[in-house]
Amino acid sequence: MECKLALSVFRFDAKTDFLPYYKKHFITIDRSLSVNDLLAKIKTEDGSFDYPKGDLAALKINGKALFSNVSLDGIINSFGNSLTLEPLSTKRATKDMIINTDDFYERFDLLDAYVDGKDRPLFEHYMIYHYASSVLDLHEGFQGDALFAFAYDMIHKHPERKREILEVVANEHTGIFLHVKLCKKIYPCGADVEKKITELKNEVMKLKPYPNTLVEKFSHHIELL
Amino acid sequence: MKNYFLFDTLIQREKTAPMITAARKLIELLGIDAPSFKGAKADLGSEFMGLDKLKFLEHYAYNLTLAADQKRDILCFEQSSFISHAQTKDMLINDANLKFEIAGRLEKHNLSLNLDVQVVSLEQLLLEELEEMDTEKLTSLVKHPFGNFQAALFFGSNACRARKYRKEELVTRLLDSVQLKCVKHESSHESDGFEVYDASSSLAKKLAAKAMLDMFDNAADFVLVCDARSFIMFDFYQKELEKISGREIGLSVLSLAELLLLAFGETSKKAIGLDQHKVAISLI
Repeated sequence: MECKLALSVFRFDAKTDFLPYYKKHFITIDRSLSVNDLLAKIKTEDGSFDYPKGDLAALKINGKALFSNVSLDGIINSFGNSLTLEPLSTKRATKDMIINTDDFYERFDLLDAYVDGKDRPLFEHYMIYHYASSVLDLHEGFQGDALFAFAYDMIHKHPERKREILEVVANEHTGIFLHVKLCKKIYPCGADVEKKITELKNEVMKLKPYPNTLVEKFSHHIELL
Repeated sequence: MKNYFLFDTLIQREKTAPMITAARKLIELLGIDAPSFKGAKADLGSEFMGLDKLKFLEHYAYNLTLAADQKRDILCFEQSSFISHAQTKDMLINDANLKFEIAGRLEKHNLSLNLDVQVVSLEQLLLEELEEMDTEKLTSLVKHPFGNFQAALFFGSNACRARKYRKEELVTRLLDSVQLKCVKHESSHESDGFEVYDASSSLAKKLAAKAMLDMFDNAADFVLVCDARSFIMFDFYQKELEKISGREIGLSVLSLAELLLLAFGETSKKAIGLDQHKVAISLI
């Protein structure tokens, strides 16, 4: 079934623009198509528009991070017909919906020594969680929720490396205890990743991988109960 | 009519005392059978689940059992305690191994795990539970409608969990009954920062300040919070949020019980607990 969407689309070209702006589009599209198809339609209206393509293509719609292969029908049911399209990080935009993802891949390097190269696609699969967190913009060096979800998977896949992996994510200045809940910042709901992060925190508290004042402080809280 | 225990051992009671005073007053005003839940363990906040899941479940299972044994449901007037109790019950009912483990732990306190108890939020109580109360009856109690004000309704990032156990629309229905308009803002489900306060107080304050400034910039007259943790961050720490953000905020913070009492005509700041707020309430 076709429907008319009122779109406000983030536009920015790092090569020529000083500031970003939002361009209006009114597009009629079949609801059964995907967000990717919507992006392609915007491109046909404005040839200068660009967006990420492929399996990891993602963006934010009305503030929620999502992969572009999701169905438009669900999006319209959740947000209505008026949509704001933005890149995963407006600060890291290079061209419209395309961003520089170097910071995301730098996080993988933190665990690179304890996992296999083959595990990298799984890490990439958590990209939207990395950019959904509001902590990323407020706390320099924050490891990010994608790394925590990935670390949870890795301690189960490589149990012999559990201690090393937990040592990385337990970092009191950049690690897992700075995570804030992001169920509502992910489409569809990120409850599964939230569960993984809760379990991972429990693992850190059980194993206490190395002397860490924050973990000691939390252990004291638990003992007081 | 059902019997309840009013769960009033909120998280950080020294900072959430106004919410407790207002809830007790509201229950008294409406003539609801809900004495203070004596002997209950204080709320820890769902953050504690991330530190020690089993201790968290044992803690709230203790309260559930205590109330069930006395054949009273648990009335929670804010989101933090509501989520923790409701989620514990849900997890234990749906996981036989966990239930067995927690039952064993409670036996050491000479308690036999009893989950035959409902966890009820204030809005559920007023709009769904009480047979003699409905939107019409509530509207008839309103002496001072809030038609001239617009609030920023803040649920926080924990609301996602609460939604499984109660409908968010119930809060907005209550607000309709007192004719309060709400401003649109993007922070309604953002973090209030409380969850990271122990790990980084500066990050916590930055998160809270970001949400507060968004509500301020959207022309809210005051902030209506659903969770004791949000109350702590927005009222108790507001001066520090101003310092960290370099901007004046000056936004009053009200809980649902305080708002209803004001609408029902209660004007004594002391009786409602408004005199205990850090940020003065100038609505009266």
